[in-house]
Amino acid sequence: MYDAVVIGAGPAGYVSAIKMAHLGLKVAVVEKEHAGGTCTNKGCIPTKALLVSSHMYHEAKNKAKRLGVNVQGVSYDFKAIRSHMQRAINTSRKGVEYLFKKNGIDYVKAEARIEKPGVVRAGDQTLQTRAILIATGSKPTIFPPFDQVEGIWTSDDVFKAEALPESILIVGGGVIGVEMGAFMGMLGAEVHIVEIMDHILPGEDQDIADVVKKSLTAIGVKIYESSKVTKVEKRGEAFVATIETPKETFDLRVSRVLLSVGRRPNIGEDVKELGIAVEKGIVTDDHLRTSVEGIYAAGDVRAKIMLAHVGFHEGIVVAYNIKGQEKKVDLSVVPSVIYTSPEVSSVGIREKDMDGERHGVAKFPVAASGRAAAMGEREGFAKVIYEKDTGRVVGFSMVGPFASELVMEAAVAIKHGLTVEQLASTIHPHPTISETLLGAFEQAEGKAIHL
Amino acid sequence: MRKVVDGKIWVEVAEPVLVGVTKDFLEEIGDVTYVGFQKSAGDTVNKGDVIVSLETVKAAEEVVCPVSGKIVEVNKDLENDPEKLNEDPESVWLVKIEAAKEELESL
Ligand SMILES: Cc1cc2nc3c(=O)[nH]c(=O)nc-3n(C[C@H](O)[C@H](O)[C@H](O)COP(=O)(O)OP(=O)(O)OC[C@H]3O[C@@H](n4cnc5c(N)ncnc54)[C@H](O)[C@@H]3O)c2cc1C
Repeated sequence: MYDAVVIGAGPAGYVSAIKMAHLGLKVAVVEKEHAGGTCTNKGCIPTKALLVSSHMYHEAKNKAKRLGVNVQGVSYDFKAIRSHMQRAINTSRKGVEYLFKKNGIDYVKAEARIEKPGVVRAGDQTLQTRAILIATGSKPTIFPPFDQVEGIWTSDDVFKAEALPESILIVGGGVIGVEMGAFMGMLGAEVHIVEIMDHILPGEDQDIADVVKKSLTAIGVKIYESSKVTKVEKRGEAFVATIETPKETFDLRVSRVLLSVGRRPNIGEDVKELGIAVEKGIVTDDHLRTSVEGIYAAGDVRAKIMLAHVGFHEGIVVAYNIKGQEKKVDLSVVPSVIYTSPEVSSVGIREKDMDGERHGVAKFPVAASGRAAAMGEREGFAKVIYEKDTGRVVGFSMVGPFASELVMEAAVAIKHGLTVEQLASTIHPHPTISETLLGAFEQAEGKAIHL
Repeated sequence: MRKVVDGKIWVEVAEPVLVGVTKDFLEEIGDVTYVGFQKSAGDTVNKGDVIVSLETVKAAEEVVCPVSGKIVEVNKDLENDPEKLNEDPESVWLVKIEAAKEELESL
């Protein structure tokens, strides 16, 4: 008899299992594919590995000379890029398996099916348990007309590709589409990105997206905003797509089409048969309990914020609740990162969503930073949204070098109610890009010194 | 005959000599995710030279050569399949070395 059986070894499931083991519970994890889930095997880790290669290639080709480094005959080997990616995947996957072993968690490689509360069927085993966690994640969305054409790629297929496509149409300019476009564009593929909203990265502010757009355009990526793909056909080995932009409608011939228009939760028949409430994803209360007693859900399968670190947080919340130590999910401060060059990060309220009466906004450019000058980087800025009457930070966005790592200063501030004065009076090391944040905080206070 | 150096490296005294890592050592450093050979067949090595780097789930460890000599063969299969090493470290060798008798005796 287990205390808990976790279905799915992605970020939500594996973290929950480890936390439960730490809390002294007896746990089994059932996974039908690979430990680490989407994130490790077809998501966060492989995309970042690919982007590191393409970025280095791009810098060697385009930036080294400016820094006084002569590199001749720069080229890339797609197979070797893939092995680098595979090695990163393996390390991450093995790491999760190792933690299962170390924490005495039973790891069952099989497809799981909930027979009833307390009973999970995993291949030919039947597991009896007090509690069940559904952490079955999500998969790429495919809809008409794309589901009718053979050979359309989703992000899953990019990681299996043997070679870089000569040309590619990316449908959807969200985070995944833009990261994939950046990867292939930097390596020299002809990339077209079609986004239905009025700018790429529609979750972010326009000014942030514009910097990314400029950098993508500079590497030759074609971007069509407020546009859509109305038709796609396979012609021989190639695809012909009809693109409708605000200005014109035209046909585009490409060797590949990648659909990156979002993900939908993996909800099995068992969940439906048990009558677990489902809307967009599995419905839970703020303790992450589903509508059926003894069954919890966490991660992408809830279809809330589909990010690995949200899964980590939710997995931990579930572990405490199964242990009997009540804990509520809190998604009020979730940093998000986009690994383009330059990088993008944000947390809390965006400028486009702020309340003009109550909130103020202050910006500081990356170009005013000494470190940026030393790095030969000019693009980007940090932006802080704060409460006018208290000075408390409520939102932050940045595009620029190291944005992925710098977002945490703002996340801590927002989570703990720190003010722009408190942040501005904290000494920031010089020369670092963190001074861009300092500049924005000072600007919010009144006037930045270095502007 | 098998000798163990520092509890980490095993040396199978034969012709050629086989060198591997112990189960205890792998338990300490965690499962291996990548085996990177720093030497190739034909290279001369001195005792103490790094011959292999092991990347594991929580560390990067270097395996140094327990004896001087000439590398006869490296176990290239492990580059693509490090799992073999995790499964059975006590019988999966990393390198084969032609080594001097005297050094082997003093291990
Ligand atoms: C291309 C791409 C890039 C991404 N980049 C980032 C990023 O940089 N940062 C970030 O935070 N997020 C990123 N994400 C999102 C991130 O991968 C997900 O949010 C995260 O993996 C969700 O975790 P999860 O545990 O909910 O589900 P998943 O990771 O999807 O794991 C669910 C697991 O359950 C298993 N499973 C499903 N059904 C069953 C069953 N019946 N029996 C047994 N096992 C089952 C699946 O095989 C899977 O392994 C990216 C996603 C993609 C696609």
